[in-house]
Amino acid sequence: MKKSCLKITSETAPYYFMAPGAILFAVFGAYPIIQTFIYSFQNKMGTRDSTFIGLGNYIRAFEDSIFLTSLKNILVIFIMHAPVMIFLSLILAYILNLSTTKFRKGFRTAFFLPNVTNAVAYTFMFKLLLSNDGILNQVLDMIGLQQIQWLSDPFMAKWVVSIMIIWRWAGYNMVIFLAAMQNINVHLYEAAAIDGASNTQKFFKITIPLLKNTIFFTTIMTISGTLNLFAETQLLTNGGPNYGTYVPALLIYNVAWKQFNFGYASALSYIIAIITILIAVIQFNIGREKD
Amino acid sequence: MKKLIVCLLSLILILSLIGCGSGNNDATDDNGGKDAQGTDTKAEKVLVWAWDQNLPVIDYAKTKYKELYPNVNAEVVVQSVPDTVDKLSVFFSSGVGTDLPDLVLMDNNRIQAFLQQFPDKFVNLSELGFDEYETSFSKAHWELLSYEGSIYAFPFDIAPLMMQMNTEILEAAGVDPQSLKTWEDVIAATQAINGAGYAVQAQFENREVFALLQSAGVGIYDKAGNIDLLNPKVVEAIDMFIRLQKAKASDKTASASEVGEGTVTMAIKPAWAIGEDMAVLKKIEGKVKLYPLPKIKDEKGYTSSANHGGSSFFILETSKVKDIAYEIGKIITTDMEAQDIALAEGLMPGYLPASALDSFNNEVPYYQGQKIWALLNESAIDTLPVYINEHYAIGEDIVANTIIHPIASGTDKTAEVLLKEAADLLASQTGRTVNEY
Amino acid sequence: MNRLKHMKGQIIVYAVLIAMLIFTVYPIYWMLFAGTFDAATLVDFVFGLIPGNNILNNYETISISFNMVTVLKNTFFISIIGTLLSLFINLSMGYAFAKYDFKYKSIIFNIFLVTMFIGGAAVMIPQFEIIVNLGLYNSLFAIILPGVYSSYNTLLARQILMDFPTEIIESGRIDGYNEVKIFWGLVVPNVKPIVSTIAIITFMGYWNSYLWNLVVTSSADKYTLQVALATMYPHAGTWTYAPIKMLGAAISVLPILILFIVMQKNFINSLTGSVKA
Repeated sequence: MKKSCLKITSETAPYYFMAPGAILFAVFGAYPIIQTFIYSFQNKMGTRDSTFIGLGNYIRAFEDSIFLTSLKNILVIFIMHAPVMIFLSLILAYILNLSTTKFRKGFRTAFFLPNVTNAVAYTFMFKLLLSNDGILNQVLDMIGLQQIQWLSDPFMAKWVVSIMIIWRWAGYNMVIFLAAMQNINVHLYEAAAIDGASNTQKFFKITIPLLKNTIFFTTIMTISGTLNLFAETQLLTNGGPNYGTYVPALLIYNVAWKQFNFGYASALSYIIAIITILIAVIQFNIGREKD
Repeated sequence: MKKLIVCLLSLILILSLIGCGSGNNDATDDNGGKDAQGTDTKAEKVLVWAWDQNLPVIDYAKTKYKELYPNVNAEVVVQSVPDTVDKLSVFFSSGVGTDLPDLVLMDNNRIQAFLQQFPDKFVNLSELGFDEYETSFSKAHWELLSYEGSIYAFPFDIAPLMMQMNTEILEAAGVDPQSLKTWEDVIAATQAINGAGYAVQAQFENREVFALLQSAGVGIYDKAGNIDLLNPKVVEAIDMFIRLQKAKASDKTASASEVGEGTVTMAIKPAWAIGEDMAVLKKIEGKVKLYPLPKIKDEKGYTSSANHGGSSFFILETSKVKDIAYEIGKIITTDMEAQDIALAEGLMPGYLPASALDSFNNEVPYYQGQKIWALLNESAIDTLPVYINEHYAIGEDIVANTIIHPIASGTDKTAEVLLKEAADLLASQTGRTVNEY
Repeated sequence: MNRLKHMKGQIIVYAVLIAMLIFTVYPIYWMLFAGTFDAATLVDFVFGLIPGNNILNNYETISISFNMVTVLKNTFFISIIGTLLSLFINLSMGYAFAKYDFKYKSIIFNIFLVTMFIGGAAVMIPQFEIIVNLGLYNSLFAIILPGVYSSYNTLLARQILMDFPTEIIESGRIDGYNEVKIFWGLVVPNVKPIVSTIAIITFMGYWNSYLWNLVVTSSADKYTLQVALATMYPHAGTWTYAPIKMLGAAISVLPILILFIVMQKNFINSLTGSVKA
């Protein structure tokens, strides 16, 4: 270390800049990742001696109906919330980008608020609001509608998770779209206005096509977020009812910390990581093509 | 000067790493120093992990230990740790062991999983002589904490279940609570109760369904660790659940919190929840009574007892003060006054001689003057054992998801079909054999 | 005619906005109010402008489980120290990637990129071993350290710093500044948006961190907000302890909520900044 404290030139400088982070990365990033990779090929149970079992854990994963269900669940949850959320965010961003709309800043603040809450707090809250005798059912009752058993039906429970995600992330995505919309040349809108285009037409004909990249980016972020969904389903329904909200991260957590099967949990972690990386690579490549 | 800045900057991280490391050590040393103040020898530190409801008992044990062994300079430090299971599993699985507690409280349902996964991490209490208390605990309780013939945990509280009935509602519906001896009787009374405008019970969840199974002496696994879901008695219990559900005796539209509102007639309650709820659910005060659980059949082999929860204390093998920890564990679980303190918190002592305590005969106005603790204690006597192993948590998970939830949402499948599916799934997850009948 | 159409459009616009306003704000409003009632009142509370009078009792019940002042102090400590360390580390690395050439640069870069996606419950065991071996178990630094290095923030910093005009760096060199002084004296002060972006992302990350904190600390004097919140009456029935849980939730959310409202511009810029990157 002392020796490297020699003179800093533009040649040696990057090593100084890299060193502290690289040490931390090696210790808390690289080493655990490699160790976990090794575990994923072992039948490691608790502290018992483990042996190498090749691809055993990976093969098991694709025969594990609970894992497959969890993959199916996040796919369904994604389909339930992503289109609604992204379209909603786009519309809100568009409205708040119109100069004729009043209180734009106030609305923007209010819509973004849910994003600053934390998972534990907002899951507790939704659990209370949507329980069978919760506020929402009371309101439904008051206006003469049928109450809904939000959390005891696998399909409805997926909707609850989806609503929670929309609640927390619609405003966030809206802000991203707003920023992208501000880059759109106003002359395009003015020209369209001269041609007699309505706001709706401008939205579909100008805004959406020009925001394609941003929409794409948001979709990828949403996919990655859905793949790693955890606290919401654990605290809301613990994966139930009938495995309806069981998600991969919850399975990994249970396999590792309730059954102590570290080998299998490690393999599952790697499968999810590989899926995420594949999606990121696709994003990267498509993004590059566009540029 | 420049050189100095560079050196400083590149060393900040390393310093912070080492710095915090030693900072932490300093802190512990400081504590040690403080403990020793005023005495010549350094105090032996006993670290206890437990959750809130149990703290008064440990406080008592602390004082009692000082009385019994005035010459030992021991300092008992209690930390309120709600999730001892998660913490210990990380410790054990990573194979490291500093800052570990000496005495740990753990949920009874998780203990076998730990004993079977990490058998060498816990002190064998039989070897330290705890076997002398074997007859002071029920057989089921003792077995739950034993591994290969030795006991590994101090049996603390148990959680016998009883049926809480709202007598005001039953009177309005013209049903005599004494007549509800079997679940058949409950089904028969459902129409009258519904007719009076009340729900019978909230939607059954894990607690209620596992109570059905345990009252018939069956569970997810048998004693040998095989999957026992195809046992005819299990089928019978699940079939009863289906019938209760169809009759609306387990009512999908009613929620557990409505019991406290006085609109749901009955609820299966564990001892500890009774303690907690009496303080909060004031609306039904004086309107409820406890009764034995309804049986599945009024025949031999079917009881009206079940248990849900309860906890025990372990001594960890890494402990350097095993003898002190042993004495404290013994006080907590076998000292009469300690049991009295536990009972005041709503924790039902597993220690059988404790039933001689006067507190058991307290008449509780909330339950119309019933001697509820005596009743709960009595109901525990018949409790049949549940066989728990490292795969119990996943078994519970599967039963909840593939049996309880579908029935709750009105599946057309029969008990046999559901149980077959659950058994197959459990077998594929755990590699255990399914008992065929 | 046109005017009528315009009015109709405006009505739809505000209907959408108000519906969304209710959807986003009502749950937060309810959370903040819920902690002031007792359980029996809360069950029937749908809307009202007058808070309940039970807040002190609820707070007392929380205090039985843990000391709120300590918990807040811990949470602020890990969030602030973690953010400062993270800024120092990730800005430096991002700068090295953006403005220098060095051995194995592209390999290291790709490793960082890929490892960004591997995490979760399974890497916790090796991480835990390291924490214990460093003697950091049950200390606040055990919570902080694994989160300091972040591939995401490093890549973010790199992206922004790549656009930083090299001429300014060169002119600094001509003036005889050394590389470190150039970075901290010339570069960083000129990229404040990315500094606040990383600061906000990291601060929120630490503030809301949960599972790892639960694992590496054992005593109540090391609790952070999320852990404390999650450990409150985990087994109790839905409504019985609802006001107490909601008061805890409100306390855990309020500081960030206030921070957001005060520093709104930075929050929003941080978001859009990270998107552009």
